[in-house]
Amino acid sequence: MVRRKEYAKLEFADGCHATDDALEQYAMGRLPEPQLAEFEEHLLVCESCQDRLALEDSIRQGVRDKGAALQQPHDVAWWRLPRLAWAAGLVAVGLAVFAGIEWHSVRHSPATPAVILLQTTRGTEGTTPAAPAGRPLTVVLDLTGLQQFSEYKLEIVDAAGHSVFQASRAPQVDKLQATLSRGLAAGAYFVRVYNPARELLREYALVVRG
Amino acid sequence: MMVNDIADTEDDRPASAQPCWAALVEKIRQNDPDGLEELYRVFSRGVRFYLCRQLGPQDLDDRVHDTFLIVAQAIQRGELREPDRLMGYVRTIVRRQVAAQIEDNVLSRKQQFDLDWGLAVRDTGSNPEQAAIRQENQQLAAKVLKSIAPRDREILIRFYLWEQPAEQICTEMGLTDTQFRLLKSRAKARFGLLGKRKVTRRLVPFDERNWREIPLKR
Repeated sequence: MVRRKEYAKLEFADGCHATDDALEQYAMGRLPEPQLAEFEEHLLVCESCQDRLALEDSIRQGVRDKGAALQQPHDVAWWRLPRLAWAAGLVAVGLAVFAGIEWHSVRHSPATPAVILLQTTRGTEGTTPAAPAGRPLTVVLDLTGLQQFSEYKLEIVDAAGHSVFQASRAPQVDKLQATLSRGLAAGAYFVRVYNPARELLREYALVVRG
Repeated sequence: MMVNDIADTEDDRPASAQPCWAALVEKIRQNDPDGLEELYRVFSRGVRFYLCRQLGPQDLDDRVHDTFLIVAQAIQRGELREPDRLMGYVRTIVRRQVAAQIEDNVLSRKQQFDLDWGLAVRDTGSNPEQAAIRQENQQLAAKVLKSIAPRDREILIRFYLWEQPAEQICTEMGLTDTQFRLLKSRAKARFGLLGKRKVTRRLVPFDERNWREIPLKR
């Protein structure tokens, strides 16, 4: 007698549909195999969950397309500052004005880097990510599916194949990150990931718009 | 009510109305056209959705057709031993289709790379309709992200762009797990309200006319 494999149970909200958590994990490719099978089987026959997943994909893609230029999460958010910090800030501004610090020098302080997430995608939503020109740029590369190394070599070349940036970086949770303090000029670029022996592992297209 | 409950999406459609798999499989084995029709009706949209999401819209109709052909013929040959596992069987076939297509793409790309003369390469760029849809989605995303509260926006960016785990977001933003879920849900609902109709309706329209294309037992 064939004994069927016992699957870890996937949580279904109200007993009918996949929970938002499961949906998000699936959309981000993080749902582990036992639940993955159960989820995909349900997805094949459930229009509601298909629509919810389509919306989830759309939100994720939208945030990745447009969110990068809006904010970097490590910035300290002004609304969370305690009153003491507000007071200290106001005092500091007052002192700065008093000391004659030119507004010009403040205004030209380094800008917050734009963050671009580069990943391999399939399907209708995958297109070349675009970064703003002339602004510090942080590229985050998705290494999912690549052979694991303690360090990777990263290179950015322009459309003519000339190298404009090179670095070695250690991965952090399937991600490789590098910041270009001066950013890039407008144009088409390719971001390449090599193993330590400098064999090309993956290449991502990147567009920088002025 | 749980904050991540499906009820938050205001989608009160019932879950899949699943037929009796054993009866359905038996009908297909008997080469009953009703069985094939039912198979197509139950799985068509899901198979299209899965293939489109994994491989894109190119040749989608052909791929869906191939999938049903494989499933129907395998059932008729008696290869599905446990009729109750029909959903799992269809999933396996669809995943094989995806894997085979990706393998084919890799092989053809490699062959093209090895050639040193010019050859026709399929244009993988968006067609005008896809480009318009994508632009519309981007405009929608920009509109929503600018319109929501800064804290909600930060949550979405941390979660989707930086892929930070919920625990980290809660710690760094000083939120409880419930607050995090509530804020994330609220921010996503804004997307839902503005874009749900536009985004989901265009994805994979179900077309019942195609079911009769499945060839019967040979």
